Amino acid sequence: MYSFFIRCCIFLLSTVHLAFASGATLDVESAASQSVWKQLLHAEQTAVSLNASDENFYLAENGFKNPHAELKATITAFTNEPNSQCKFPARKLYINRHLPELRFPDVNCPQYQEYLDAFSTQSASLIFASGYLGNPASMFGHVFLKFNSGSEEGLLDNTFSYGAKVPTDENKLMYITKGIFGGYQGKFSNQKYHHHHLTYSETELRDMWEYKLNLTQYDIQFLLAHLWELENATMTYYFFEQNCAYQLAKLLGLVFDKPLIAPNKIWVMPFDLVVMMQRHQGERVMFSDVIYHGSRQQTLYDRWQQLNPREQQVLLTILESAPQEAHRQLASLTDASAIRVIDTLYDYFAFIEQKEDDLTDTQKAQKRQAMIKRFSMAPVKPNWDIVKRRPPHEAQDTTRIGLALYNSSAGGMASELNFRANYYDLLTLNPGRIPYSELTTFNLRLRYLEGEGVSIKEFTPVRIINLNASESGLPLDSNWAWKLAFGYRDQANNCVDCGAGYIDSFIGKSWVFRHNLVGYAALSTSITSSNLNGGFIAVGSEVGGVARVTPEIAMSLAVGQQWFVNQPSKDLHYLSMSARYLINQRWDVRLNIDNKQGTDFGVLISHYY
Amino acid sequence: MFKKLTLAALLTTTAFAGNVAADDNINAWKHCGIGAIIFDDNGTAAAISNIIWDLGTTAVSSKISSVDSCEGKMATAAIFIQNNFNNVIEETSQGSGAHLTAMLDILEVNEADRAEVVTAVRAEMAVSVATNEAANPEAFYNAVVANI
Repeated sequence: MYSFFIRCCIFLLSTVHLAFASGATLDVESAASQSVWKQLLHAEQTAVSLNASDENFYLAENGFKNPHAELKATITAFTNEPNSQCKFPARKLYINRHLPELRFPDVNCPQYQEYLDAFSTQSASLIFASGYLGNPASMFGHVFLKFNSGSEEGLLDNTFSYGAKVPTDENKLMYITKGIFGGYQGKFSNQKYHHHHLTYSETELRDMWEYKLNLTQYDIQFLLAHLWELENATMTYYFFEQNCAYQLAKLLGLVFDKPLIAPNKIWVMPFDLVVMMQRHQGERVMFSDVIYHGSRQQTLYDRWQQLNPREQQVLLTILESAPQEAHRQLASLTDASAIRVIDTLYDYFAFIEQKEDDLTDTQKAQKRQAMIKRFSMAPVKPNWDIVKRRPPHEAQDTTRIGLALYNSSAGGMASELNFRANYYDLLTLNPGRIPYSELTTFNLRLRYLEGEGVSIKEFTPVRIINLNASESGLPLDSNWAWKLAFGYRDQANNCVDCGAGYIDSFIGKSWVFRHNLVGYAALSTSITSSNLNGGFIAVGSEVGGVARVTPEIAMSLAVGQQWFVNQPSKDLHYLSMSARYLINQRWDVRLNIDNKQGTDFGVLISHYY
Repeated sequence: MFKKLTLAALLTTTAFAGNVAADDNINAWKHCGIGAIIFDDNGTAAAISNIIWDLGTTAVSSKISSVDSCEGKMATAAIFIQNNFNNVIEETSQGSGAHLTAMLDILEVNEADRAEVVTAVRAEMAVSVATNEAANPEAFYNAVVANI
């Protein structure tokens, strides 16, 4: 009887298994074709390599190119080698969800569980760090993930950041070349958030924006599981394409199921990721809040603006006096005011310490006097107003294509096609970017003039301007205003096809006249490969400014005079004026006047994407 | 490598209770080579040292005399103080702040005891700063250890 019962059971189970097997084949095919499964394999990217030579990220021989084979191999491995489930917990979660009829042997994964316990995550955020013109690799900003433990400040929260593994002391030229052309391997690294705070906010003085992601606990576990799978993994790093923004967009694609890489571009940028999240907000809420984390420099500016005139005067007097004077000055204030001044002094000295590499002995003594006073006072903190700022995703898009009509001094009306690959200029709407700066890459102007045909008016691979406008006017809170641009352009407006290679630069000082008006004066140089205008190297001066009249209207002006070093009797003057009207985040109109051996004036309408 | 990264993550959590006993018997500054591995107290160098520490490279571990006993909360707190000393000392003078909270979290100080610890450390550091004694990360660390 007992034997008969066992046989019946075996028969029934076999039947169920056979029935399941035929249905599961279809299910496996379907599951393997899903974008999430392909992303778990990093298909359509560069293959994942594992550092350990005896391990492979792909279980099927051609698993990278054949998601179906990889899924079948994964199922087989999970069944025959149960411990492999510990190596691929995201794959297991995926299979459990999409092929719920499959059953695998139970297995304990203590190391993975320890990892999950250590993260003890309530929610996750995407952090956008603004650009940093001090390092080519950081100019376009950075993004990383933060897993929030629930503590208010979150300095001990865990983060995952994707970056290239660059050898120490790498040659700068090699660094750029290998970064662009795939000479480095990239990987996700795990750090506590306070490291990023120190690096970005305190050291590089970059603002950060925290996008609180709208994820379920399952989503968070799925992300963590996949990051675990990548523990020893490296992928080929490409600075303009498969970079931090690309990897994070792909990673978040696992849970958002929406494309987060900007379409119609062959490069990927951190800014585009937050914009794409914003674009999908209507159909799938991707973030619930955006929190601003100001750099130490911006915190200084915000607090300085909030000090009353008397407090500002005391702070300035302290900075301009012998250290012993600090105590007397602070004693002349109420305790509440003294605390506000001291806390602003802390920000000032922290900012100057980074900017100047160190504090002078006098500054150290001044800081110490302020600190002595602060220690002697009640341990209370002032209530600083929170300054409301537009988040980065409200900035104008980065790639521009425009059409222009010009009245050209070369003869009649000219039409122009304008294309700029990246990123922003002095007139674009730039929240989340360095104020009063420009970072333009691959700017091409093709001009058509009746009777003359099409010519290249300008091709500028790189133009960087940083006016370094001081918002406080405090001692040492100023830096050089500078510009560097190079490429090819017409040497004058009154000629056609008169282009030559050029390198432009200036260095000088800027001043903030009002909150929205900045002016500068600088020494300038221009090097050209043609002596059409009289020489090859010209030096002189340039003055100019930028005015942000309203959020919609902004204007810029640059006027310069230069003399040719190799032919001093020849000089060159130029004027460039532009006014921008913002229609919306993706469109603007500009009126341009450009004088250089003849005046061109016209209107440019641009689409940004 | 990632295991080491994960370990680094774990260092600043409560998961390494097993190292507490070892912690109690060491001076993290002296025995873990922290003074040797952290170059100076300007932010750049500190940031670099952070990265080195978290990536677990031999540049750090080769200078640590007893890695096992230096994986615990005391060593982690010492490194945290060294790297973030500007913030930590400022916040101590102010009486509270994110870095102070994080440091106390690392040291697993009970919520109920925190105000007392901060008050005591604040009093000690007030004297150090006022008398122009070395108000440096090591002195701060020692003040904290003496009061938890």
